[in-house]
Amino acid sequence: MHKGLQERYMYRICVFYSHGPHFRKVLLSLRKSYPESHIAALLPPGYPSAVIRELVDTYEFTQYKQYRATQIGALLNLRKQIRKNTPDLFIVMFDSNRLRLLGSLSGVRERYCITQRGHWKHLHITPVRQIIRSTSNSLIGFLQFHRVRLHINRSVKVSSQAKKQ
Amino acid sequence: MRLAFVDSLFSWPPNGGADVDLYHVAKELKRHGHEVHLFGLDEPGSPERGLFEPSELPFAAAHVEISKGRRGAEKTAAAFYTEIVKFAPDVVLVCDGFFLKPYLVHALSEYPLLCRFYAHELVCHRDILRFKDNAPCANHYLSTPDVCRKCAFELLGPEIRRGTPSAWLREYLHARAYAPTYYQRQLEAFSLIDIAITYNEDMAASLAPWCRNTHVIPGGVDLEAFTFSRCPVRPTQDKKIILMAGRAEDPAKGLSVLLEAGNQLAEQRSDYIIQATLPEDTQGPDWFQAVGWRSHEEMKTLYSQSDICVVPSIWEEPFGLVALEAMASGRPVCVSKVGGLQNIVRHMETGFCFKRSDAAELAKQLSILLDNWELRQRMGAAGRLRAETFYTWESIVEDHYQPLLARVGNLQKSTAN
Repeated sequence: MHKGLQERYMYRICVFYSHGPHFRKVLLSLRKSYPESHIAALLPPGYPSAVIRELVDTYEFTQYKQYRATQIGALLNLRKQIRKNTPDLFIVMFDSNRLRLLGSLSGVRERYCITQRGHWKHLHITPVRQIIRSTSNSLIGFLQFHRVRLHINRSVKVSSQAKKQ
Repeated sequence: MRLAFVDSLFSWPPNGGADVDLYHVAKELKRHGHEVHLFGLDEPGSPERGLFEPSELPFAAAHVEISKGRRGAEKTAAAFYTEIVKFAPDVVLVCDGFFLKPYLVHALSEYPLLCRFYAHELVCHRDILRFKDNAPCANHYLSTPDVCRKCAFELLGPEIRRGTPSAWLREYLHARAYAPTYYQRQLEAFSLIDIAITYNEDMAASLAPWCRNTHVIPGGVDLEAFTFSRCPVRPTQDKKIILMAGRAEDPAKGLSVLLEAGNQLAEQRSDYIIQATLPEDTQGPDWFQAVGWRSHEEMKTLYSQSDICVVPSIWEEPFGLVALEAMASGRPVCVSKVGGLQNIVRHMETGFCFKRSDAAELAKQLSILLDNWELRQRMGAAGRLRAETFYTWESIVEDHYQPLLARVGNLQKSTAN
């Protein structure tokens, strides 16, 4: 549990599924820590809900097995599904730009990532800062990509010239 | 002896076989009277490494902290060096790591160096597998650097472009592994290693032209954790469980071969179910069940509930810890004849070996085992005996590491003289 959270408080928790090994483990620990809380799970289509049924109060399927941060429609649909549960705690399995953006769009006050090792990580960031961060990541990635490509092409060229000689 | 273990990926509970190997080897060496100290990497925010609590380990350990602004490969290696110098080791064992290894070897070259290769790291820049287009790859970074550089970039390029790199890619970029200078650095690093340790002869042969000494040391199994149980006796209507444990989602692990064998079995019988450690939402035929990703602890139960274990790897599996764990648990194991797997399992004695990707042969072997409880029981017991005889961590350290450390000690003395 994160130190900013109250013990045994009756939260309304929304847990967003990600393809990872610890989804069920997270639900188990949440149920143990907050037995009185309302836990809702958002699952991808096809997820066998039987394996988590006893751990959550409600669950709902999203339309998306995968989506990108640039798919505005998908983000808005997911936002709607999250807000429907009126949660005061939004939990994801990984810390990624996409999930941070989704979290901030959802408008839920407390947003956390619970890692595979059970550590709680605060995901507070405004949508504007998140967009700036994502853009700078993409820009750095773009520059690095071309730098690496240049190096590789140059070395291939040099060695093919050496072979010819 | 004072032994420094350097591992930039170590996590405990383990993320994979390399962590398990290091943990038990370090623990056993400590039991033999050596002073052991593990130096792991602490990379803030990384879910992939450095996730261990030093106080929970049975040997001394510490994190080498790398702040965000100091993530260059030279700086990381220098940070390790600064910490290790304080420990003043007699020998340094460079364990798991990706592209940082040559930098670490250079930084620590004043000490006698043992370097453990857990898979095909450094020989393949794409990943640790040396596996491409569903088949083992014949290329080798040190022989065909340009081909391997291009191949790695084909795979890693899109991830670089996204700007949110994984640990593998972060090391690739920080170490500038794409540059020709890295090739030179790696060649020099290999010549500085006193002994390169691999899991099998093929891996040793692939390193031999560049390393002074290579040595093969298999992995081991914790027999107290993986206890023997008899194969379940099931009523006729109950389905027998064929288990595939490990990273089944990795195509190199050969789940497709097992599913094909399952299809062929389904034409003749329905008294089995194939379980694989995949996310619970994985879809499959009626006779297939994804049991979720399980922790190292939970795997013991899974083995004891199973009837047969299968390791159908397509890549050159360096060792195959899951096969050994299944044997220690008393289960017959069907493995493909690749890498270290074929050395662990004795054909017709502790299980069956089949040709890589040969689903028909695997289906036949599974059918024989499904029909015969006595055979399953006999092979399972033989597997346990083999694990007890050759693969306990006590015997691995006693038979391999102790003589190796003595050899390194002698090397040191002769150099000093």
